[in-house]
Amino acid sequence: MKTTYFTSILLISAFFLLFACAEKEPAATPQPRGGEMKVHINHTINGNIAERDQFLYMTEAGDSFQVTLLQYYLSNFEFHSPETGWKKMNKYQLIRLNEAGTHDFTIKDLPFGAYDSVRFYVGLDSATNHDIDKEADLDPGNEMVWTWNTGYIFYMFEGKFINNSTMIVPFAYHIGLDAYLMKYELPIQSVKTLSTSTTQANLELQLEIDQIFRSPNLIELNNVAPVSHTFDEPALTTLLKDNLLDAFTVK
Amino acid sequence: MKKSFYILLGTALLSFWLQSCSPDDPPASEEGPTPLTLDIPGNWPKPNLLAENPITVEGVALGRKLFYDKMLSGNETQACADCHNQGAGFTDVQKKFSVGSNGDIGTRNAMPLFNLNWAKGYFWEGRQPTLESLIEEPMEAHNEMDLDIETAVIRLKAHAEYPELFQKAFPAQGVTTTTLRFAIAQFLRTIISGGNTKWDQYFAANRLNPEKLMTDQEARGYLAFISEEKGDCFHCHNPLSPLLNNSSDREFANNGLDAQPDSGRFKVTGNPNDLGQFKTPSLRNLSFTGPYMHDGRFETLDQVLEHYNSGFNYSATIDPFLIKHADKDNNFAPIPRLTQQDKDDIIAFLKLLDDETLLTNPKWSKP
Repeated sequence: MKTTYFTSILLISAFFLLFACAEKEPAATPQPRGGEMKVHINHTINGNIAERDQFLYMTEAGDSFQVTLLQYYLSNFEFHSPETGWKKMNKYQLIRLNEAGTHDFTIKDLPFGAYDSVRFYVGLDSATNHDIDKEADLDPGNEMVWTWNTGYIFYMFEGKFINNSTMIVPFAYHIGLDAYLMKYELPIQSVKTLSTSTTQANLELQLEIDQIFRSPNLIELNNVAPVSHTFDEPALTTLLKDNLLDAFTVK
Repeated sequence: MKKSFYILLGTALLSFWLQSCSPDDPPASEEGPTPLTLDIPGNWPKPNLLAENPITVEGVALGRKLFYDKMLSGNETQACADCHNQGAGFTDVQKKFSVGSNGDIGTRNAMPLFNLNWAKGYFWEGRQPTLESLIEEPMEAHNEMDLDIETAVIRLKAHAEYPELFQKAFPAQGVTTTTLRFAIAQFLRTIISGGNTKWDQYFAANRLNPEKLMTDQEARGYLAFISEEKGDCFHCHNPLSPLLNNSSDREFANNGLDAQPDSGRFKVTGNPNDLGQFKTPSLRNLSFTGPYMHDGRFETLDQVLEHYNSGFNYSATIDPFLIKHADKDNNFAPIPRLTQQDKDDIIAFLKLLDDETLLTNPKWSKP
């Protein structure tokens, strides 16, 4: 009896030893229910791929200008399928013109469907905007946070222009605050389909940087403040914001 | 007997099972230098370390000894520490420009050596990308230590103590130009100032409204510092950053020192937009690190603030946040906005960033 008892213990221990380190049996993999939307942003000025730090461009009003810095938040992506309506995705991305790696990002787990429209914000929704204890792209260390007001800079745009006295003058337009959140809804002409057989799709957005000075509000840089932080130049910021609402297209 | 055998065998097998799959098993210990973890305040960003130069107890000790050793100058009269004095926040004591081992005078104000793990470029123009790469430049410069680094290695190899110290710190390499640079860089990486100042305490306790914990004057100074209309300092010295500098696109800026600016960062990048741009320094320990600016032109913080108030000069590369305070109808002449009281208040706030322990911490003193 005792021998049987100890033999049993031995066998059980040996069983554990033999199987403990085996590769785990793969759990039954659930069939994926969604795919990836890979987004790429093109930045253009005067119809050409944007280059920084060179006086290559003219505003619609005829001011020679260059871009020295552009960084902004894209967030709250939603995709529309005629079958299922709008699908809201939790995604925010800090885009920096001078860091090409930030121009590409992936929106994961987008449910299968045929998507014919996209919505997104330039900026951050109010809840996110007023909680700056965040990390990664929302880390205050990214210098996209205003310190006198708990909120982020949505769109930071800086450059130089040549004024009427032929002086090179820097400009800096920083757009933020909840009231200036920029909301976009754009048709996707070439429908993006995600399915079990096509789990990735590519969405190409284009930002026309010079649109900020173009229409519907023609901006003459000589006639406006060279620096705005939204709250100090609300009228100018409204003009810039309204122009930016026409700055994105889906290619 | 049989019972004991089975118990022993079963226990052994069970023990094997329990221990065989632990994922956190440390690797078998290897002899070599002892890894050192930097003492970084909890809420600070990750340091920019060089993977090829892991920080070790032995490497830091060696670097510290080298930092204070006059043998590393051509005529053996000057150590790194002579122009980067701990008692002055690792700057040259109240000197506009440092005097080299041969008596020659430098052309840039000696920068403070602390919190260097969070910089993206070194020297006022950011001309060296890593701490490891910057070491030999002041060592070899004729108007600084004036010693070729190859000669330094020959001296060190012939020294009574250094070969063994290098062997302990870098067992696979011994004394080389690389390990010489790596050792000093390791020591410099340990010099971290912060976490213990009044500012750090207030910031940790109330990140969004630290002024509520300050005296009236400090609070006024802080609010002026972050005010667009008054100090407007925060664009380049971000108070939400633990270093109170700006580590992204404003790490270098033209703050209007000259109408015909020094080449500055242009020397490094060749980009005309970088003319007159110099590193935006941390605002920590300003009480100990004057004079100020890349050429040490200002002896006092009051002079610095007056520059930003009424003394900056327009040039094509001036920072836009100074243009904001200039008269565009008068060739961008400054529009003064600070009273003497404002300046005094801002200075009272800046003193909250002084870290007295930096000056005396024996970890960084002469060994």
